[in-house]
Amino acid sequence: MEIGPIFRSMARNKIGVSLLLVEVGVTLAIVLNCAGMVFTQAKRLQRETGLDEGNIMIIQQRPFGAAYEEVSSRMQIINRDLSVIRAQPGVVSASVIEPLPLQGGGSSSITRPLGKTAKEGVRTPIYLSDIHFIETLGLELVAGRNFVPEDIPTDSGPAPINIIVTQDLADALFPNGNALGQPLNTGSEEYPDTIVGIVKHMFTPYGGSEMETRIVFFPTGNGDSGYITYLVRAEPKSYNALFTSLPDLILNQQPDRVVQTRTMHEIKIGGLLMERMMVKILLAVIVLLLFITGIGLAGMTAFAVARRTKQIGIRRALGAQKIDILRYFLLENAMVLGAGMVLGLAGGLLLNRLLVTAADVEPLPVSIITGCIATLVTSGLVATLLPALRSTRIEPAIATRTV
Amino acid sequence: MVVYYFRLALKSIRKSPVISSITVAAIALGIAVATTILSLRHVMGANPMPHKSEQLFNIRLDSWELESEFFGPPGEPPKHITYRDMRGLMRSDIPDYQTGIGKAAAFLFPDKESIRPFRADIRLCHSAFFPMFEVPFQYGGAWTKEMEEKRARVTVLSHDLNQQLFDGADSVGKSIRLGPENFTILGVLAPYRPTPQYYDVLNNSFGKVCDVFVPFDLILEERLAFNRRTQSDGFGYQELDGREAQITQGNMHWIQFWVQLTKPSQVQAYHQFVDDYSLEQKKLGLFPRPLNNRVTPMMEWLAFNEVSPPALNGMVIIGFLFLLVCALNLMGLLLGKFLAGANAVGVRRALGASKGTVFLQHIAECLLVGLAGGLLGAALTSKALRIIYNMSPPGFFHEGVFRMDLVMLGVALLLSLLASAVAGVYPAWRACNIQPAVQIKLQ
Repeated sequence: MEIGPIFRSMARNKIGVSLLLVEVGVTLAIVLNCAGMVFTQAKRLQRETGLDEGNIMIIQQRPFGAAYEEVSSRMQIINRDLSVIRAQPGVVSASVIEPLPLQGGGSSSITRPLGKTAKEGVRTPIYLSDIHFIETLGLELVAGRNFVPEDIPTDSGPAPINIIVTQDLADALFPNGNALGQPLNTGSEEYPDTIVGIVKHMFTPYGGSEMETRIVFFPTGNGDSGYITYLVRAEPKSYNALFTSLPDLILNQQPDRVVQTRTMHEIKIGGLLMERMMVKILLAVIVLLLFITGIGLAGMTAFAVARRTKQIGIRRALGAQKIDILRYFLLENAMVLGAGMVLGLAGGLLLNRLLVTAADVEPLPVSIITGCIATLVTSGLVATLLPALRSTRIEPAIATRTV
Repeated sequence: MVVYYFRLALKSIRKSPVISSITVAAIALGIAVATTILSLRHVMGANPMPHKSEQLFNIRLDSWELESEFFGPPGEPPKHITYRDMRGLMRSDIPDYQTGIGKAAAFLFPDKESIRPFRADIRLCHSAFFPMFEVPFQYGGAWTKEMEEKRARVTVLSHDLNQQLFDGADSVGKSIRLGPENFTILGVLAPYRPTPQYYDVLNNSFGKVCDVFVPFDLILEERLAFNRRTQSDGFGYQELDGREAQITQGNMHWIQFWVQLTKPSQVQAYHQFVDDYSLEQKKLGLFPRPLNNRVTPMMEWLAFNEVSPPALNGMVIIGFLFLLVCALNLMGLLLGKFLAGANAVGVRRALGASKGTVFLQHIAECLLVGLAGGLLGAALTSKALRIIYNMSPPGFFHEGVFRMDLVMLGVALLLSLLASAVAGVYPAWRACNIQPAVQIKLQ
């Protein structure tokens, strides 16, 4: 094998080789950490929300007429809208909801079993919705029951209310698994609320903490705020038609409002926007970096080929096959890449330690490390292949010509 | 002499267009990645009031009950204060200026037929807001303390809204309809975009300024029924009748409170005042927790709220390492290129050029590559910032966050020249050490 001669020729070109070595090493260090950050964010982006996202649309309205100012007449409008929407063919279910799920943040509160202190409580996002919400969101009820009309509180004063929670919240509050039917302090000890149902899973972005899957639903009859948001779940084949027809339909019921439909997907993207931007920027950095390092390797090989033209000619004249020449360059670069990987791995792990403290980055998983090394070695060898192929075209006759 | 070196360099660059454009592109990419990230960090971490930030303080009080916990890091008081505490704090005459900061929304009914009624963002603040934050006016001015106490229906419009409603004309004295009532326009702002929007980082750090500014207490008016649109956190259930009572006596924490304290003695006195206020409240049976009040200087407040996200610091490190890779790359390419031109160097040396001359001639070429790379890199940066801006949701950031300013253009050029000069030193040194005799013999 040529390892011996390659090594000796490298030893005579220490600076050139160490340049490449450091370049490849730093590249790996950066790629590792970018990939690590992408991995951390992608885990969040790909989390199951538990919702039937693809089939839900949001109808947001901004009323400006006098009819909306009074609570009872607003209630009438809302109920009429919802019954009209529900009667449309292709609509699976429709609900009011406050605030909008998946938008990032919302409204939250501390919940705790009776007799516990606030410090022992659990922070949970709160949603107010109607008795149809499980079907509208596409959640799965795993214990207890859905809301019934009697669950809706009749006035806004404090009263014991029946609530539905996610499994994660039930487990956090009652680790023994006996959450169903338990009274819960969601703000007042005198008027405890009761868990009547448990849904399997829901995730809503809320700053990245555990609370994102510990969710509580309160029954409500109205949207008491300035915005009134309807969620509509449609059958897949009717989704697009309903998306365009529903705004006009409810505007015909009652004008004096701006009505806009949005997809749940749009909302979700908005809720995880920073994460998405970050992933895109990091991926761009990785691609550009591989490109740059590729150019570097290709360039160095091209120069090496040019410099050694005569020697290659001599080798060919002495009987070396084309493949031997090619192998020489590939092997040379593979050795540099290999050494660079060792250097880069050390540097990458060091940089990771630094970022864990400076920028809330997670430690690197092994799968990412092996993936990055494989990608970098492959792209490095591909980059050498192009100029190295040129070396095989050097004629043995060159050797006799220029001495 | 220098001109001649650069002419030589230009000639050498033209002679090998492929290699030269690769070297320029390589350094330009490095500059683009590093300055794009630096530019974001530069804007998001900027001090929006450099001459005054040390005199501006955000005030927080721990007025929470014992039974529950507020949303926020442990050990810190809540990020907002209540309306009741804002009134209490405003009794002090220690600060030069003080203002509450709130945000609301209401329907604005334009006179113009062409514009449909729309929901306008309302900034709730006190008259001191304008002089304290040095808000620039194009026409008119702010309201007075008397107007604010009488809850006069007066307003100051943002520059953008005045463009939209009055085509940028002087609209002072005219009125706009907000919800059910007419508001007299007292002033119109000149273009104004504090970045970050330091007085309200809790609701909107990098978005536009609100459309209209109105006296804070108008939020109390039942008839106007402005919709509060801020983050908020509250405790307990209170039986309170009417909007005014709910806001003035409620436990809802939703107001950011700012004071201007110019002299160190004022700062000291104000700390004392805030603690005295809490003790006084304790006597009334409120503020059951241990004293935990904060008078936070502006820049500390921005850092505490992570206005510039910590992940961005990690990105800056990565950006610079990226540039390092590009510089190493450039070094390799230059080394190859210069050694390939060994013949010409040999001839020049044989004809009497000194080592130093050859060295400088090669460095000149590096600087030219650096200059071109810097300019191209700056153009790419500006493009990349544009792309990132387009990826962000409408209204979340204002455009200015993603614009490259002159400082960053200078940084890009400087970084590029520096990187290519440093990368060029070794290759140029190797080039000037080429043995003329050997090269000429090889010809």
